[in-house]
Amino acid sequence: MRTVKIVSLIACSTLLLLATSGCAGKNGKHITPIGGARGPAPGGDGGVPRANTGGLSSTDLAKGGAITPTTPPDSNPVPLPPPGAPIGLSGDEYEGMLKDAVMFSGNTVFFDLDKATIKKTEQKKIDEVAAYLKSSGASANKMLVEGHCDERGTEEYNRALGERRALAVREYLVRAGVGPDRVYTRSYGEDRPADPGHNEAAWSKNRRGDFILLKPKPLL
Amino acid sequence: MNHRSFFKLSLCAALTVAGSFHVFAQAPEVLDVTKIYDQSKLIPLSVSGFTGEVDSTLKFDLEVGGCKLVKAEDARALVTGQNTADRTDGRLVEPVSKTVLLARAFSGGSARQQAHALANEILAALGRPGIALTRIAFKVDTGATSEIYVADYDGHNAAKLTQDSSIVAAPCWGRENRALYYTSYSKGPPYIFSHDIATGARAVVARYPGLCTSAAVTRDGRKLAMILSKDGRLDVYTSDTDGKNLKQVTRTAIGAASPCWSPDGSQICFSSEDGGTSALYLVSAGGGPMRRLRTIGVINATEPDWSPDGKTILFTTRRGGFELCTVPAEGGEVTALVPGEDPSWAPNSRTVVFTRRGRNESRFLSLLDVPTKQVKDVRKISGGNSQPSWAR
Repeated sequence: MRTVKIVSLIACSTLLLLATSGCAGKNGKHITPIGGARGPAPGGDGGVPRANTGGLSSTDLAKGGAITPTTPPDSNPVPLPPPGAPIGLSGDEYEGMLKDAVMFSGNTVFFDLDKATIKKTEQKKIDEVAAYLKSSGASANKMLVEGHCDERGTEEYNRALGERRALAVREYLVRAGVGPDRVYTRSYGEDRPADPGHNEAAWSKNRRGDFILLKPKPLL
Repeated sequence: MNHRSFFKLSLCAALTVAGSFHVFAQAPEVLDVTKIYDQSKLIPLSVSGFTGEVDSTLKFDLEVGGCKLVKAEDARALVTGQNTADRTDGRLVEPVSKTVLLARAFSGGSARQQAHALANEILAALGRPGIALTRIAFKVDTGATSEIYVADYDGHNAAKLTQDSSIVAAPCWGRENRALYYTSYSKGPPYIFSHDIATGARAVVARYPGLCTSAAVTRDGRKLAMILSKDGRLDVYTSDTDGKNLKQVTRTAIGAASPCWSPDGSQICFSSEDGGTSALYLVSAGGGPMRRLRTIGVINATEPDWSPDGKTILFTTRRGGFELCTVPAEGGEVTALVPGEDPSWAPNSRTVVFTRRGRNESRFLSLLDVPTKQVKDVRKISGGNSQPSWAR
């Protein structure tokens, strides 16, 4: 509709007589030929990034106090199942299950700024979830891990980071023995903060992975 | 300078055209205005004679085009004219030679459209392809929910495209700007939708477990690139624009984000953390090894957008706050532009729309003239405005 409007917007254009054309002659000297003066030269004032404190990533700098002594990812490989196991079902299939966001609300996994690695301090929370999922009473239940970010990243980066957080939790569960077909992921990026504030206290609560327990609907 | 060229320009403008202004715009050879106006600098220009919305719209457009509004005595280009209820007349004169570079009248459409059309012609006569009649799409976040909006490039005439009261993300134009592709959580999980703007018809084109997001359409409108996590990692995938023929293009170790296409559709640029920090990579559209794009001086790069002329890749970096940068498409020295994030090129490969942050991280959109770094703000819709995509 609008496209059509714009295309046809100028239905009519009118002739204007052009004024004086021939008087360009004398003033040629005012027309300055432009040389190669482009934007600021590389390394010039403001044109190119200043070396930022030795080229360290701002991520690390911004979070000096929170470096955790966890082992690097993948330094302790568990042979089976392989990391990055495909996510089994389409999202719609767990949409039919009952969602319980309360049962493991105390087990929310928190992350450092711009990180998707599981901190040592958070491992016990996931161990508890794994133990529950492996228990006989829970065999029909599944788990949705929701990954979230604070608002400081760019949006699509955050959407990816939230998914990487959820995948990291999922992988931890899988390595702990939970079947990969029982754990789903979903990223909300920064769209669903736990705390709407704009300070580190809020941000640290928002960098998280939430556990949403999925239960089959009871038969009627 | 070339006197004959001046004559030619003046004469060629004296055409009568009764049809659309598209015909008008194709005046025969115009003199090389790049000899008069340095395309990398602000052009001092004066505007007089217009009133109301035509006046404000025209001035805004010309500033976006890299002109600086000055008094007539300081101007190197004089725009004069007048507007009535249904007509806008404008003239552009080079004051030294007193050469008329342009003389046009517009009727029909709205006052804003007449002003935009005049601005486009003025900028074209100054050597800069105008984009004042193009549109953008973006996300408007009102807290719990967000919707996709479509608006004129300056934010006027905005209309809500989605009405799901859900979460949306990452709009991208396709099918010759007749459709938008975007991420929506309206069915629960994030899926990628196509949305025909005229008919409102929607279809899910990527519905997989995990994350489906960051749709990017090729210029010919045939292929879609996207980020999926269904195989346990975030990687770049391609498909036809209806979602068929899905193919995994990257196999990253840590993950990929924000793909964009080269204009010829042969390559995809995206960001990945595989090297430790987020950096830009290239991969052939058909797959194969990923190659790091050299961004000298920058160690953190996200959200690339490939210029329509193929020459330049624009991206976001983080140094304290976010900053827009460009790098040649073959890699090399980075040029820092202005604070901002998530940029999208205009069809002229010169203007950019991007996201900025105000108080409390609230987001709004601005326009950047890349060579001169002049910034003008897009009219804001109530709520956070972000993730702009320029129809091109």
